[in-house]
Amino acid sequence: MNRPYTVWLHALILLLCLSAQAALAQTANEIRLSGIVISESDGKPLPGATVLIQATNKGTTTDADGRFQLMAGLNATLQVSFIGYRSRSVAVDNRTELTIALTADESNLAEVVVVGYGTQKRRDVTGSIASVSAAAIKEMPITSAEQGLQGRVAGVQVIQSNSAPGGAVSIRVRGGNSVLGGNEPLYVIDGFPVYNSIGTNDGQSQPTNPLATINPNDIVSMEVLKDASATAIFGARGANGVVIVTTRRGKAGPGTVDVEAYYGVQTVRRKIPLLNGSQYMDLANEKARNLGQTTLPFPDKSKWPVSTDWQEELFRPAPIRNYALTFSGGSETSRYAISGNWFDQQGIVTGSGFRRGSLRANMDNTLSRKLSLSTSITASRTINQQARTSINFGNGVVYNALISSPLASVYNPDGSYFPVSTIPATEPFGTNPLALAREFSNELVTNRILANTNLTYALTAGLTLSVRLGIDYSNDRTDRYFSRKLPGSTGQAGVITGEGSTYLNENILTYKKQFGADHTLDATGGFTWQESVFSSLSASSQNFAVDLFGTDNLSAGNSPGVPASGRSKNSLLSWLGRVNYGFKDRYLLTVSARADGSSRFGSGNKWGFFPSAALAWRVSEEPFMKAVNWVSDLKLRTSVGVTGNQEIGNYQSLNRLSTVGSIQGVAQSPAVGFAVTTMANPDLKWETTTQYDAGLDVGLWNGRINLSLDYYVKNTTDLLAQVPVAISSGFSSILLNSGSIRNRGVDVSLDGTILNRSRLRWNAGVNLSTNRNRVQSVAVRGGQFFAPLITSPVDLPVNIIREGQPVSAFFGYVRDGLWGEDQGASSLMPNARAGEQRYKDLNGDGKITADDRTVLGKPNPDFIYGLTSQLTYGPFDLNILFQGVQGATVFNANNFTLSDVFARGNNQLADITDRWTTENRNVNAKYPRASSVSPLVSDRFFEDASYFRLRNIQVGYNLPVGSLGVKWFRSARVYLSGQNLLTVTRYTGFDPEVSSTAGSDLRKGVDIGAYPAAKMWTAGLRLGF
Amino acid sequence: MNTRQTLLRRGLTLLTLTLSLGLFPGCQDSLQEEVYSFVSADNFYKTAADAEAAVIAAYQPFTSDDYFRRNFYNIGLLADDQVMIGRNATFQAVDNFNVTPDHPFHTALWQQMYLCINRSNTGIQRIPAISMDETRRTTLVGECRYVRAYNYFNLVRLFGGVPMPTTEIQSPGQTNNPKVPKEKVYEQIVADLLEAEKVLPLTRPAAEWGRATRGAAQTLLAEVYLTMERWQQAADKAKEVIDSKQYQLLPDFKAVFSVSNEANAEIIQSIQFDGPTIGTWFASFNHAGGSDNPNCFLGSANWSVEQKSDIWLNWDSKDGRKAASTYDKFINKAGKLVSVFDYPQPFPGFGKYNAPNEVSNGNSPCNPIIHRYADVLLIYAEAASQAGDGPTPAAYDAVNQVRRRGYKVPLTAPSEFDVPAGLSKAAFRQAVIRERSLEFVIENKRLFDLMRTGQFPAILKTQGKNVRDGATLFPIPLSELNSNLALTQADQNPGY
Repeated sequence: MNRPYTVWLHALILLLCLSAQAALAQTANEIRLSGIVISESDGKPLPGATVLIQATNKGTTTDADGRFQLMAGLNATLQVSFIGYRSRSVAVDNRTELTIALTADESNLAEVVVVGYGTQKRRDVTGSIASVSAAAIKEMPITSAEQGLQGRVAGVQVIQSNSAPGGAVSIRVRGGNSVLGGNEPLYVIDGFPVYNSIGTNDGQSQPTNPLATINPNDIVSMEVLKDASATAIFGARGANGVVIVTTRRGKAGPGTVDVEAYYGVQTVRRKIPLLNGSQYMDLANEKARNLGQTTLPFPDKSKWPVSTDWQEELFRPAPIRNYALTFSGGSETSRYAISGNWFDQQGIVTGSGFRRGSLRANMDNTLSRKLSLSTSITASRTINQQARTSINFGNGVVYNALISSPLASVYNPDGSYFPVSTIPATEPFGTNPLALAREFSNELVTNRILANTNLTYALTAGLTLSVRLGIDYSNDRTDRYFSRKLPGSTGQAGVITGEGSTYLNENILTYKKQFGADHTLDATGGFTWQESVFSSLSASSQNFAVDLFGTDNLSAGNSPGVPASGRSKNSLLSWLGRVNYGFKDRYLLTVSARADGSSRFGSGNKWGFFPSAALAWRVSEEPFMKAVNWVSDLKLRTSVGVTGNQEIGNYQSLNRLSTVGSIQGVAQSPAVGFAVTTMANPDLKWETTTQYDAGLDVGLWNGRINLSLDYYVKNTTDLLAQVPVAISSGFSSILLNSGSIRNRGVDVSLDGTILNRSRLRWNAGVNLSTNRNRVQSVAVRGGQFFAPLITSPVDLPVNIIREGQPVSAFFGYVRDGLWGEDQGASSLMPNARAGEQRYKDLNGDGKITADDRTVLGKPNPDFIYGLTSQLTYGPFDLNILFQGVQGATVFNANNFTLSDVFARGNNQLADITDRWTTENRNVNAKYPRASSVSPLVSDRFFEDASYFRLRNIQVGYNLPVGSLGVKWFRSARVYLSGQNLLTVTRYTGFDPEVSSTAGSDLRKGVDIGAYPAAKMWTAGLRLGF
Repeated sequence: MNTRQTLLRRGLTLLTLTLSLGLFPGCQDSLQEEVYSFVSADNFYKTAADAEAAVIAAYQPFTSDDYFRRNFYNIGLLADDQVMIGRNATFQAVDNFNVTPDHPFHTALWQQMYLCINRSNTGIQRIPAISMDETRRTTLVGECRYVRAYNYFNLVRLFGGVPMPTTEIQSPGQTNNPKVPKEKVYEQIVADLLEAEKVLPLTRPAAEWGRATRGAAQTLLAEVYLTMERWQQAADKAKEVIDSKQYQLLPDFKAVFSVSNEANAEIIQSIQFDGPTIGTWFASFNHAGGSDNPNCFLGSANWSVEQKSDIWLNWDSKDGRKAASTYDKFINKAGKLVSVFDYPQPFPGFGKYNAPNEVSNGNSPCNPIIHRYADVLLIYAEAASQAGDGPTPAAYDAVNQVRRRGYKVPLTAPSEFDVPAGLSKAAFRQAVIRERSLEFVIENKRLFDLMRTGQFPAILKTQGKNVRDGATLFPIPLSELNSNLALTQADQNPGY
């Protein structure tokens, strides 16, 4: 800010104050006053601005032309305010016709924040809300919107659970509240509430991200609503936080065209060091000798010259491309923003990829002075080619690339795939990884239309009715084919189609009024209805004579499968209301409530009530703070409220009979029976989260430094959980409201402008959040139950839900070095031989049994953090994002095989050389002797998954197009960026940011052949015309 | 302007009203869940077809992974003295009979058995009220009784006294059932089977092969009596089956297990698997040699021969059953004779279950056999001798038929391989039990024979296994103990 301007401003304020005092001193003579409020920057009228006579409660708002009429005293002073502009006091000064120009407020206090069913100025917000701007989102290439939150918002953990293109991203706002119910936040995309239901690993591939159907290029801001005061207005869907996504809308003025394009190359971030062919043979021979076998598997090593690096064969450099074209503009009464996008990302695993084509049209129409229409339509088609990353080890392509013997070639001389499991001493389960990558296809095509229109009618001054109608329609089809070239396959084809439609109607009344100078009221109330219908159909066939048809001719298969279909529906009816009251601009109160009725709950419990209240005190507005002029904003906030979670799936309260299939008859024909598969629970009700929040917002030196600090406690009670019931009832679990979970934590974010010179500007920010998650109670005797088990070779659950521990804590044995001598009957492990793994006898019963397992960590981190930096020097800029996680643990299930010292005959980690051998009987070696003894699930496999990562770095150059003198050329920018270029971690797998499961799976923090993370370089271009 | 405004205002009011009126009265209705893809118990169990579907459902858990596809056999086989596994701690805990109450295998099996029981209870309770052909109706109820009895028999043998619901469980309040002493469980089993044998048909049409028959109920009852040591009743019931002349020993022992002739004359009751849609893991699990083995998709050596067992050390090579049941050399896919000891899992395999055309492991069409005619003969032999003062000629004849078939000599003529004449009662019983151990290798009979004759788990200790102290039965699953409010830790079996 330049000095002369500041001086001028000070002078103006002084003048205004003086004149105001003068006005008060005199008696008023009322006259009819008229005027217009315009924007200072472009001179355009501002409709809807508030014009108040100071020290009275009289006032009006400007009409569609920005004009107002008012009876006022000749010496009165008008207070003029409008969202996004600095308020201004203007003395009437005997004039009858006034032109009042407002300047846009660029400090973030005046920034408009989108909240549930409305907007608020940042300064008036009483809840905990964080915003991410378009600029930040555009710093790096992302597939879907929520990835843009990573490392940028305190209290929001973004987990790219698998790095496959289009792979699922799960978001936890202030920790997970639920055991069974979904934990994803609610997304509100241009007013349309969408739950991003991430599926679970279906045994074929890791889940995909439904939100990737929405093009992230169009986003102008994302608001994350964190505390109950902000989210309670979303009632039964608010407990996991709410992310409000706003896309670009047209502005009146000449049409603009923006072109964006980037191209990048991804490579695998890290390969796991494994044994080469020669080392593999040595280990196989050593195991044979240890077992006393007479014939060695590789008596003559020279006969095995091949040493295949399967990771090198499977992974490839993969291109990523994105093109976006946006047209926007319009008149005062009709504005548009229309964008098209083409995104194409190939995966680093051969055969995987994600493509999206989308079109968005955002239209704003002023139909009359009182009636306006705001419409958002987006249509997209995504094609996701999924690699086989099954949670069932042997099926996964990545897992097979790790375990396959380096002695196997990729191909036989005739071009067919080499059967990797025929290598001597090799476990017979493996499949040629390249065959799995190329001969298994799994393509998910989704067409989606998300459209809604909001009709706004200004009933009287300050009172507005808006009616929103919308639809979210999606149609997807999965084509899955196992070609005949896969071992064991005779050609197997399956097609699954699904269709979902969600209808929305919202009827909202808003009343905004300023009473006198001191009281402001902003009230919102309404009624909403949302209904979703889903249907599915699947068919399959196998035994194909040729691979020619893939999934395009199921009748060519000799054994058609049983077709399946399904249909389901759910609905949600709601009443909602909120009152924001401000006194003297410094005491702010928000009270909100919502009543939700959901079809998913038991007949007596369909309705839930979710109230909240928040208080904020803008200390900086107090007279005693005026002198402290370096404090531009100081706000204390506190809130309490109740929110719910209804993401339990449909029909959970009903007694359901399902079809069960078996075989009967000499001909071994299918037989279909009906059985009750779910026990009814008519008492099923909402899971409720009560959240307390205390926060502090500080702005210093006119917003140059901003600090936000929150402490929260979330208690989730009536936890929805599949609680085990007596299995002897014929049911293993029933969905019950039982138990409770507590999340406590601190969110801190600090950002500031460190340098602010004319050519050099440096903004930096840091955010940090902690969350402690604890199971307070579970309705099972013993206070614990296990997550589902991990499949063979683990064959055990590794996560436990236990009172007093974090949700899905890890559970296993503790190692105690290696045995020095062969053990006898009186030993802890009577059959153990010298060099085998020794475990701790934790319960002291003199034996190693399953009772010796203990809690060994937790999948959720102690804290997460992000560091951002934006440096601008003239036309150049440099943007950096560091991001990290501390204190999380991952169960590295890959190593259960890769470091079993050849127990199952698979390839091993390169550092397996640090093992007990008969020549080097080192009981402190990292690994035990080579044998057939499988490891137990022990602390060795629960690895520290803390990491610190250079998530993004971008260097940009803005071309000085202004100096070219070409009027139609508005702006041009080129940039180069890199993602994941640096990661500091001790995790020995591909990437510490991993989860082979997703959704509501209780198996958390498990890495089973997960899709590895990529490193990416991109170059991009943005042009504005 | 004014008119337009008024119109708009009216229009809007109307719109709001319509929306409101249109929605509010429907509030409660629209929150009622509409179901499409499943039926609710309230509108089912009305027709003959519903009754049939309910009975198929009662059998269905048998075909699950945790029951006959593999897990019931993982438990029964690995815990006995003939079968072992050389890897995987979870399997080895069963092999050593050192499981904890939270072990996944017996927990999952327990669940499937009670699934069968609850569905049988549903059938027994609901089918009698359905208006349909009366004979069919009583047959269907009889089948449910058979399924219930068989499951309680497995439960009581593995776990002793157990919770014993005999009515359909429909709500959370009915789920907590106390442990019932094992005598009461046996009473219930006997009562069900006596009822079932009365109403079940002697034979089934081809399309219903695999569904319970009178012979199946009677053989099961004979085995139940044998286990209860009610010798005379066991012998009488076995005799009834023999006299029904419905079953016979196949001349070739191997043919009994052939996947191309599974509905053979020796089979009394088996569980049906077609292979590709629902298959067992039997072929791959019982073989060694990985993908070199032509008799299965993948010989994974999950069930290997325990080399300290009687069958490995002492089995007479002249007995044709030996080569049909165990091996340490096999002809690989290349046609070469190879030794199992040269494979990464260097353990002898079992050759009983073969599926050369298996498309993937877990797709064997092999039907697990619950009872076959050899069973009836051996039950009869043991029970008839035990009921009196020692072996009768008929008892000798029964056991010798089985032996002679094994040695491939005529069934009716005395042979050099016969059980020695003149054995004492105890020695004869021992001979029959050993005969069972040879005849039924990996047919999931051995563990129960060891248990009922008091040799379990002592015999495992003689093989040097790290057996859990004080345990003779499997533990009641921890999750049952934790979630069943009618149970306390005091109900847990000794040793846990």
